[in-house]
Amino acid sequence: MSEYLSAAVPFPEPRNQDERSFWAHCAQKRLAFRRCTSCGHTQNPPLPLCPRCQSTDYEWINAPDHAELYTYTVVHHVIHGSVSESVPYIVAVVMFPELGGLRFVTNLVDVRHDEMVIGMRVSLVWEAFKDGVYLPRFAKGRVES
Amino acid sequence: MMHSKRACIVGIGQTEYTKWGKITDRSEFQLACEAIQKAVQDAGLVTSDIDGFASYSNDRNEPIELQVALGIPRLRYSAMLWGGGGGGSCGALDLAAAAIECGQADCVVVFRSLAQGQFGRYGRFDPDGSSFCFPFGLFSPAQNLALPTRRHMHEYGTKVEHFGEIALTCRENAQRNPCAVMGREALDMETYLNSRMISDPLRLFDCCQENDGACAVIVTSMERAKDLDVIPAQVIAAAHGAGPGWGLSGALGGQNPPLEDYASSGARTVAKDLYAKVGMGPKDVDVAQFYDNFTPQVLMSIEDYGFCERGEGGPFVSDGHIRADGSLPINTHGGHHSEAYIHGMNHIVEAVRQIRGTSTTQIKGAEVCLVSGGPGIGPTSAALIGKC
Repeated sequence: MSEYLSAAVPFPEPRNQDERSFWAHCAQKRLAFRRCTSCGHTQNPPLPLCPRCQSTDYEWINAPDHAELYTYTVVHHVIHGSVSESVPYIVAVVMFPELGGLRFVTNLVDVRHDEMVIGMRVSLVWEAFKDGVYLPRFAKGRVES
Repeated sequence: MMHSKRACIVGIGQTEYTKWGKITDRSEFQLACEAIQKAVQDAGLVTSDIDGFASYSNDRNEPIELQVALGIPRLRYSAMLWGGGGGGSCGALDLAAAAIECGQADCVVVFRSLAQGQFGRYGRFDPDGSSFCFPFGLFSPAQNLALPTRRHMHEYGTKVEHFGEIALTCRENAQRNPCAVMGREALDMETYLNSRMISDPLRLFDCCQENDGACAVIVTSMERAKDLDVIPAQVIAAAHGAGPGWGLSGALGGQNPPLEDYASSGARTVAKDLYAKVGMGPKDVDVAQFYDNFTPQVLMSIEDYGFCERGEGGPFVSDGHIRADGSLPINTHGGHHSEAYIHGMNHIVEAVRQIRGTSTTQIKGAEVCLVSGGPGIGPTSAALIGKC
């Protein structure tokens, strides 16, 4: 699969061990979020404690492989040289109803700009990035029978 | 009778405003000093009367250095509101007013100085970003805030023409303001709609400018103001803060504030706190200066500060309410969009002009002006500034 954006796109150092854990899972093509084992709240980006009940007990749970398109933008103006050949490109926020409405910033890789409809189902795909990192992106969801 | 320790603004000062990078003959620090000197002169004070400073957004010009340059014999108060980009503009005023009312200082400067050519623009690529945004090409404030904007359009049927009405209103007001950087260029809806796309649905003319310039206000007590030959503008109330989930996970971060607050300015709790402090509400506001980083965030601010219901911002602006002759004139200086982007500090200056009766788009009978700090980010802030 071709990459949606160039591997020259900057990848900032994760800010702490919670964020490093997220990306370590992605390196194994696993999209996982931190869920509090006391109250069940799932969070993104990861925090060292649960914002709902303050517990530090957690587990990493796999995200469903489908999500809903919650909102998006089509980027036209080049902010960083690495995307100069990619514009216009889609940045999407997808939402997981099964995870309490948790949202995740990503891209839609195979969707024409005129096809985007908020609420459409999209499915998880993995694209190789760089330094062993895989990026969780989304593609048009299969129509369920 | 007015409490004698009540905080009021007695001086306003500003440098020239230019497009970003145009001020090269003097430093950003010098611009800060110039704006402060002008504000002090405007108040009929001298710089040695200053004993406190408050700013926000990690202003590079530190009070301890300003003290030396301005010949201030005794510094008693030096406050910075953490984080939030321009969200803290009215928060800095909040800090200054608190210092005055608690007696920690007698004369506090609130200021912002920007020489973007010397230090860089906000809208450019900033390498200090998040691994949760950058790998997906989400780099800039415009891109981030396009996301709740698109969601607002989806949830409420808001149209780009509604955002255009905000751009046109700012530009129309700027055309009466000789200090406005974009004051000589008219803007109509066709030009707005044809402006290049930045991050859909945000067009060029939804985005504020980036500029060089500085401005400052002098905050003191009502008691002190009585001895000055100025019309004081009372800080009726100021508030800063954030609702749940507007920090790391807000619209400028992980995009995970509560679902019911996502398509908003994030100012719901600050608006409530502001009004509750003095038992006032949107009906008491005669004119407003909304922090316009992007036009949709102004529309959402209008909703969050209670001038219409959530989702009704589009019809509200298209009905003409925000024009100079409307029920809620906004950004009478032209805003960031068309006067200059001094991170909301110029909105506070304009609020004082409205209360003094000296705005170039003066609203007749203006007694209370609402000012908001940067939306879409936490902390945000707001103030009510009015006649004494």
